[in-house]
Amino acid sequence: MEFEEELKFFESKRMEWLEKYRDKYVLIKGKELIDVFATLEDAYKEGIKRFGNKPFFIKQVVEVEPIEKTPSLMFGIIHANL
Amino acid sequence: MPIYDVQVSPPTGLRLRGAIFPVEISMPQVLIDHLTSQGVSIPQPVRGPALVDTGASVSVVDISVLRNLNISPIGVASVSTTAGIAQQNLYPARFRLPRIVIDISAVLGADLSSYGIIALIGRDILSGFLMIYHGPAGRITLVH
Repeated sequence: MEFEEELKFFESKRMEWLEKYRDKYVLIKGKELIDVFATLEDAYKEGIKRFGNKPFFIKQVVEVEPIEKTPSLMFGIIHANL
Repeated sequence: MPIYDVQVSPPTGLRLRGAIFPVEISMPQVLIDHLTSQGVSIPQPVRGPALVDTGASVSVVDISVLRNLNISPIGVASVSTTAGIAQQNLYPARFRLPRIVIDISAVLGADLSSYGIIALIGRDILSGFLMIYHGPAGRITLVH
């Protein structure tokens, strides 16, 4: 999986960062916290500035991870007809 | 002000095909500006149909479109799947709907090729719109 290292690093820091950066967006590359931003857009701009069009990891610091749901895709029923 | 108003005839066609809008998907403007400043050529936007899906919490773009546009992922989202919660890549993208451009911070990439669409418009995009789905008349209106 892409970002395995970054995700592991983020999880190891989540509780600590919740105290300092709650609801902010962290920009991470490998095991390095690059910077913290108020919006995802600002984090993306900085990521592009530093790394160009290469993968970099942005994550909002929240206590409970939101679960995204796309049921039509999940069940393959986008065009189900009788 | 309506930005898109379509009448499907006969009205039952709307039930069968759903609320479909023509969209154009491209690199986000920030990335275009960066690559342009470096003299790198920008991939042409991809045009195709997008289906409004009020059941989707996040918008989805066909993974082949994202690859053709050479957009790199910027993180992961926890996504509910039939096999449980999985981590899926998130990508920035720019949607051009009729008369409006939306830079979406993060969309999911998935294989939509078998559905004849290039994107699912989820509640993240819809949160900025009023959509009127007039089933009996076979009409959909999108207002920003």
